[in-house]
Amino acid sequence: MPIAYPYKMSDWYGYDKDCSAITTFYRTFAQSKGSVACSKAIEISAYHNGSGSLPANGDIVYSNAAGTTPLTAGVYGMSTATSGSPSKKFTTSSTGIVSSVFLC
Amino acid sequence: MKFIDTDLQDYTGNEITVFKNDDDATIMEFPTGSWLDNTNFYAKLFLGKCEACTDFYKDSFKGFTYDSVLVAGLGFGLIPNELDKVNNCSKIDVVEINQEVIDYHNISKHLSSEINIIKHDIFKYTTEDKYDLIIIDTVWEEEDMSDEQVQTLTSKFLNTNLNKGGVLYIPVKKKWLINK
Repeated sequence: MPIAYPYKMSDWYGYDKDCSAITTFYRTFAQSKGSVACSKAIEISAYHNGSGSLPANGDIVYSNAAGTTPLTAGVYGMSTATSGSPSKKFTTSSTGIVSSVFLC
Repeated sequence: MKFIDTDLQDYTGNEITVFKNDDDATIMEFPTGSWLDNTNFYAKLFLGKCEACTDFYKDSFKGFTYDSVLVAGLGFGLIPNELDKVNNCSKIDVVEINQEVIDYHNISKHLSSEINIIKHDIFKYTTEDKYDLIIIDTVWEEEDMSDEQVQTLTSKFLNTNLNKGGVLYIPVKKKWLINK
Protein backbone atom coordinates (compact mmCIF):
# COMPACT_ATOMS: atom_id res chain seq x y z
CA MET A 1 0.00 0.00 0.00
CA PRO A 2 1.48 3.42 -0.94
CA ILE A 3 2.49 5.64 1.94
CA ALA A 4 0.78 8.99 2.07
CA TYR A 5 2.05 12.15 3.66
CA PRO A 6 2.13 13.01 6.47
CA TYR A 7 3.55 9.73 7.78
CA LYS A 8 1.40 7.81 10.18
CA MET A 9 2.83 5.86 13.07
CA SER A 10 1.67 2.64 11.42
CA ASP A 11 3.88 3.38 8.39
CA TRP A 12 6.84 2.54 10.57
CA TYR A 13 5.55 -0.83 11.70
CA GLY A 14 7.97 -3.56 10.70
CA TYR A 15 11.00 -1.28 10.65
CA ASP A 16 13.88 -2.13 12.97
CA LYS A 17 13.45 0.47 15.68
CA ASP A 18 16.46 -0.22 17.87
CA CYS A 19 19.16 -1.45 15.47
CA SER A 20 19.57 -4.53 17.67
CA ALA A 21 20.62 -7.84 16.13
CA ILE A 22 17.86 -9.75 17.87
CA THR A 23 15.32 -11.63 15.77
CA THR A 24 11.95 -12.73 17.05
CA PHE A 25 10.64 -16.22 16.36
CA TYR A 26 8.12 -18.51 18.02
CA ARG A 27 8.56 -21.68 20.00
CA THR A 28 6.95 -24.40 22.04
CA PHE A 29 7.66 -24.85 25.71
CA ALA A 30 10.67 -27.05 26.52
CA GLN A 31 10.04 -30.76 25.94
CA SER A 32 11.87 -33.91 26.92
CA LYS A 33 12.24 -35.25 23.38
CA GLY A 34 12.39 -33.71 19.94
CA SER A 35 9.54 -35.83 18.64
CA VAL A 36 7.38 -34.52 21.48
CA ALA A 37 8.47 -30.93 20.76
CA CYS A 38 7.51 -31.33 17.09
CA SER A 39 4.03 -32.43 18.10
CA LYS A 40 3.40 -29.52 20.45
CA ALA A 41 1.81 -26.24 19.37
CA ILE A 42 3.76 -23.01 19.01
CA GLU A 43 2.90 -20.96 22.07
CA ILE A 44 5.39 -18.26 22.92
CA SER A 45 7.88 -15.75 21.50
CA ALA A 46 11.63 -16.21 21.71
CA TYR A 47 14.58 -14.26 20.35
CA HIS A 48 17.94 -15.15 18.80
CA ASN A 49 21.09 -13.35 17.74
CA GLY A 50 21.64 -15.18 14.45
CA SER A 51 21.20 -13.91 10.92
CA GLY A 52 18.33 -16.19 9.87
CA SER A 53 14.65 -15.97 10.58
CA LEU A 54 15.06 -19.02 12.82
CA PRO A 55 18.05 -19.81 15.02
CA ALA A 56 20.86 -22.01 13.68
CA ASN A 57 23.65 -23.98 15.36
CA GLY A 58 25.81 -21.70 17.51
CA ASP A 59 23.25 -18.89 17.76
CA ILE A 60 22.12 -17.82 21.20
CA VAL A 61 18.44 -17.98 22.02
CA TYR A 62 16.86 -15.71 24.62
CA SER A 63 13.55 -15.67 26.40
CA ASN A 64 13.40 -11.86 26.47
CA ALA A 65 13.57 -9.29 23.67
CA ALA A 66 16.44 -7.47 25.34
CA GLY A 67 18.58 -10.54 24.81
CA THR A 68 19.70 -10.76 28.41
CA THR A 69 18.08 -14.03 29.57
CA PRO A 70 19.24 -17.18 27.75
CA LEU A 71 16.58 -19.80 27.17
CA THR A 72 16.60 -22.71 29.59
CA ALA A 73 18.33 -25.86 28.34
CA GLY A 74 16.01 -28.22 26.50
CA VAL A 75 14.52 -29.18 23.19
CA TYR A 76 11.94 -26.91 21.60
CA GLY A 77 9.80 -26.74 18.49
CA MET A 78 10.09 -23.48 16.53
CA SER A 79 8.43 -21.57 13.73
CA THR A 80 8.28 -18.15 12.12
CA ALA A 81 4.51 -18.26 12.63
CA THR A 82 2.91 -17.26 15.90
CA SER A 83 0.83 -20.44 16.13
CA GLY A 84 0.37 -23.87 14.60
CA SER A 85 2.90 -26.68 14.42
CA PRO A 86 6.67 -26.24 14.58
CA SER A 87 8.62 -26.48 11.33
CA LYS A 88 11.87 -27.34 13.10
CA LYS A 89 13.17 -28.37 16.50
CA PHE A 90 16.25 -27.08 18.27
CA THR A 91 18.25 -27.96 21.35
CA THR A 92 19.90 -25.45 23.65
CA SER A 93 22.52 -25.65 26.36
CA SER A 94 22.05 -23.88 29.69
CA THR A 95 23.68 -20.78 28.19
CA GLY A 96 21.08 -20.64 25.42
CA ILE A 97 23.50 -21.75 22.70
CA VAL A 98 21.81 -23.79 20.00
CA SER A 99 23.53 -27.15 19.68
CA SER A 100 21.29 -28.80 17.10
CA VAL A 101 18.55 -27.93 14.64
CA PHE A 102 16.47 -30.48 12.78
CA LEU A 103 13.38 -30.42 10.62
CA CYS A 104 10.22 -31.65 12.29
CA MET B 1 -2.06 -41.25 31.47
CA LYS B 2 0.12 -39.25 33.81
CA PHE B 3 0.61 -40.04 37.46
CA ILE B 4 -0.54 -37.83 40.29
CA ASP B 5 2.60 -35.82 40.94
CA THR B 6 2.35 -36.24 44.69
CA ASP B 7 2.42 -40.03 44.16
CA LEU B 8 5.84 -39.74 42.55
CA GLN B 9 8.53 -39.69 45.20
CA ASP B 10 11.45 -37.33 44.91
CA TYR B 11 14.72 -39.19 44.63
CA THR B 12 18.40 -38.39 44.38
CA GLY B 13 20.73 -41.10 43.14
CA ASN B 14 23.83 -41.50 41.02
CA GLU B 15 22.06 -42.04 37.73
CA ILE B 16 18.72 -40.31 38.10
CA THR B 17 17.24 -37.45 40.07
CA VAL B 18 13.50 -37.05 40.48
CA PHE B 19 12.21 -33.68 41.61
CA LYS B 20 9.35 -31.22 41.31
CA ASN B 21 9.92 -28.21 39.09
CA ASP B 22 8.59 -24.69 39.68
CA ASP B 23 5.18 -25.77 38.40
CA ASP B 24 5.14 -28.79 40.75
CA ALA B 25 5.44 -31.11 37.76
CA THR B 26 7.70 -34.10 38.38
CA ILE B 27 10.90 -34.39 36.38
CA MET B 28 13.27 -37.36 36.08
CA GLU B 29 16.70 -36.08 35.13
CA PHE B 30 19.69 -38.08 33.93
CA PRO B 31 23.41 -37.16 34.23
CA THR B 32 23.52 -36.39 30.50
CA GLY B 33 21.06 -33.55 31.08
CA SER B 34 18.28 -35.46 29.35
CA TRP B 35 15.03 -35.56 31.26
CA LEU B 36 11.51 -36.89 31.26
CA ASP B 37 8.42 -35.23 32.63
CA ASN B 38 5.22 -36.66 34.01
CA THR B 39 2.70 -35.57 31.38
CA ASN B 40 -0.46 -36.92 29.78
CA PHE B 41 0.86 -35.91 26.41
CA TYR B 42 3.79 -38.33 26.22
CA ALA B 43 1.84 -41.60 26.15
CA LYS B 44 -1.01 -40.04 24.15
CA LEU B 45 1.40 -38.97 21.43
CA PHE B 46 3.39 -42.19 21.22
CA LEU B 47 0.31 -44.40 21.40
CA GLY B 48 -1.37 -42.50 18.55
CA LYS B 49 -4.08 -40.86 20.64
CA CYS B 50 -3.30 -37.24 19.89
CA GLU B 51 -5.47 -36.11 16.97
CA ALA B 52 -3.73 -32.77 16.54
CA CYS B 53 -0.27 -34.33 16.55
CA THR B 54 2.23 -35.54 13.99
CA ASP B 55 0.43 -37.74 11.44
CA PHE B 56 2.85 -40.65 11.75
CA TYR B 57 1.79 -41.49 15.30
CA LYS B 58 -1.98 -41.30 14.93
CA ASP B 59 -2.00 -42.83 11.45
CA SER B 60 0.15 -45.79 12.44
CA PHE B 61 -2.30 -46.90 15.11
CA LYS B 62 -5.42 -46.56 12.94
CA GLY B 63 -7.14 -49.95 12.77
CA PHE B 64 -4.44 -51.62 14.84
CA THR B 65 -5.53 -53.49 17.96
CA TYR B 66 -3.25 -55.01 20.56
CA ASP B 67 -3.41 -56.66 23.92
CA SER B 68 0.06 -57.93 24.79
CA VAL B 69 2.90 -55.43 24.80
CA LEU B 70 6.63 -55.38 25.46
CA VAL B 71 8.02 -51.92 26.19
CA ALA B 72 11.75 -51.20 26.18
CA GLY B 73 12.54 -48.17 28.33
CA LEU B 74 10.75 -47.42 31.58
CA GLY B 75 11.26 -43.80 32.65
CA PHE B 76 8.28 -42.86 34.78
CA GLY B 77 6.31 -45.70 33.21
CA LEU B 78 3.91 -43.41 31.37
CA ILE B 79 3.46 -45.72 28.39
CA PRO B 80 3.04 -48.91 30.49
CA ASN B 81 0.60 -47.05 32.73
CA GLU B 82 -1.48 -45.94 29.73
CA LEU B 83 -1.45 -49.51 28.38
CA ASP B 84 -2.57 -50.80 31.77
CA LYS B 85 -5.06 -48.22 33.01
CA VAL B 86 -6.54 -46.95 29.74
CA ASN B 87 -5.99 -49.70 27.15
CA ASN B 88 -6.51 -52.53 29.67
CA CYS B 89 -3.81 -54.62 28.02
CA SER B 90 -3.63 -58.08 29.53
CA LYS B 91 0.13 -58.42 29.36
CA ILE B 92 2.65 -55.62 29.80
CA ASP B 93 6.35 -56.42 30.12
CA VAL B 94 8.93 -53.68 30.43
CA VAL B 95 12.65 -54.12 29.79
CA GLU B 96 14.80 -51.48 31.49
CA ILE B 97 18.60 -51.41 31.45
CA ASN B 98 19.09 -48.97 34.33
CA GLN B 99 18.89 -50.63 37.74
CA GLU B 100 18.45 -47.30 39.48
CA VAL B 101 15.33 -46.53 37.44
CA ILE B 102 13.94 -49.90 38.54
CA ASP B 103 14.97 -49.22 42.14
CA TYR B 104 13.17 -45.90 41.97
CA HIS B 105 9.98 -47.65 40.91
CA ASN B 106 10.35 -50.13 43.74
CA ILE B 107 10.57 -47.21 46.17
CA SER B 108 7.94 -44.97 44.62
CA LYS B 109 5.47 -47.80 43.93
CA HIS B 110 3.37 -45.71 41.56
CA LEU B 111 3.10 -48.41 38.88
CA SER B 112 0.64 -51.26 39.00
CA SER B 113 2.05 -54.62 40.08
CA GLU B 114 0.44 -56.05 36.93
CA ILE B 115 3.30 -54.50 34.98
CA ASN B 116 6.26 -56.84 34.84
CA ILE B 117 9.62 -55.04 34.94
CA ILE B 118 12.68 -56.90 33.66
CA LYS B 119 16.23 -55.65 34.18
CA HIS B 120 17.97 -56.14 30.84
CA ASP B 121 19.50 -54.51 27.81
CA ILE B 122 16.90 -54.70 25.03
CA PHE B 123 19.66 -55.42 22.51
CA LYS B 124 20.64 -58.53 24.47
CA TYR B 125 17.26 -59.53 25.85
CA THR B 126 15.79 -62.78 24.61
CA THR B 127 12.44 -64.30 25.40
CA GLU B 128 10.14 -66.93 23.99
CA ASP B 129 7.10 -64.75 24.69
CA LYS B 130 5.13 -63.30 21.81
CA TYR B 131 3.50 -59.90 21.73
CA ASP B 132 1.11 -57.88 19.59
CA LEU B 133 3.22 -54.79 20.00
CA ILE B 134 6.85 -54.15 20.93
CA ILE B 135 7.65 -50.51 21.69
CA ILE B 136 11.26 -49.37 21.77
CA ASP B 137 11.36 -46.18 23.80
CA THR B 138 14.97 -46.12 24.90
CA VAL B 139 16.33 -42.99 23.23
CA TRP B 140 15.56 -39.29 23.25
CA GLU B 141 16.34 -38.29 19.70
CA GLU B 142 16.29 -39.91 16.28
CA GLU B 143 20.06 -39.63 15.96
CA ASP B 144 20.55 -41.49 19.26
CA MET B 145 19.77 -44.79 17.53
CA SER B 146 21.65 -45.86 14.40
CA ASP B 147 20.12 -47.62 11.43
CA GLU B 148 22.26 -50.63 12.37
CA GLN B 149 20.65 -50.71 15.80
CA VAL B 150 17.22 -50.54 14.22
CA GLN B 151 18.21 -53.45 12.00
CA THR B 152 19.49 -55.40 15.03
CA LEU B 153 16.17 -54.94 16.82
CA THR B 154 14.23 -55.82 13.70
CA SER B 155 16.20 -59.04 13.14
CA LYS B 156 15.88 -59.91 16.79
CA PHE B 157 12.18 -59.33 17.40
CA LEU B 158 10.14 -58.94 14.23
CA ASN B 159 9.70 -62.56 13.24
CA THR B 160 10.53 -64.11 16.60
CA ASN B 161 8.54 -62.32 19.27
CA LEU B 162 5.61 -60.78 17.44
CA ASN B 163 2.29 -62.41 16.72
CA LYS B 164 1.13 -62.39 13.11
CA GLY B 165 0.26 -58.78 12.27
CA GLY B 166 2.14 -57.61 15.35
CA VAL B 167 4.24 -54.47 15.23
CA LEU B 168 7.76 -53.47 16.20
CA TYR B 169 7.39 -49.76 16.91
CA ILE B 170 10.23 -47.29 17.48
CA PRO B 171 8.43 -43.97 17.97
CA VAL B 172 11.42 -41.63 18.07
CA LYS B 173 12.71 -43.17 14.81
CA LYS B 174 9.18 -43.17 13.35
CA LYS B 175 9.52 -46.88 12.57
CA TRP B 176 6.40 -49.05 12.37
CA LEU B 177 7.41 -52.54 11.25
CA ILE B 178 4.73 -55.17 10.80
CA ASN B 179 5.25 -58.93 11.11
CA LYS B 180 3.37 -59.92 7.94
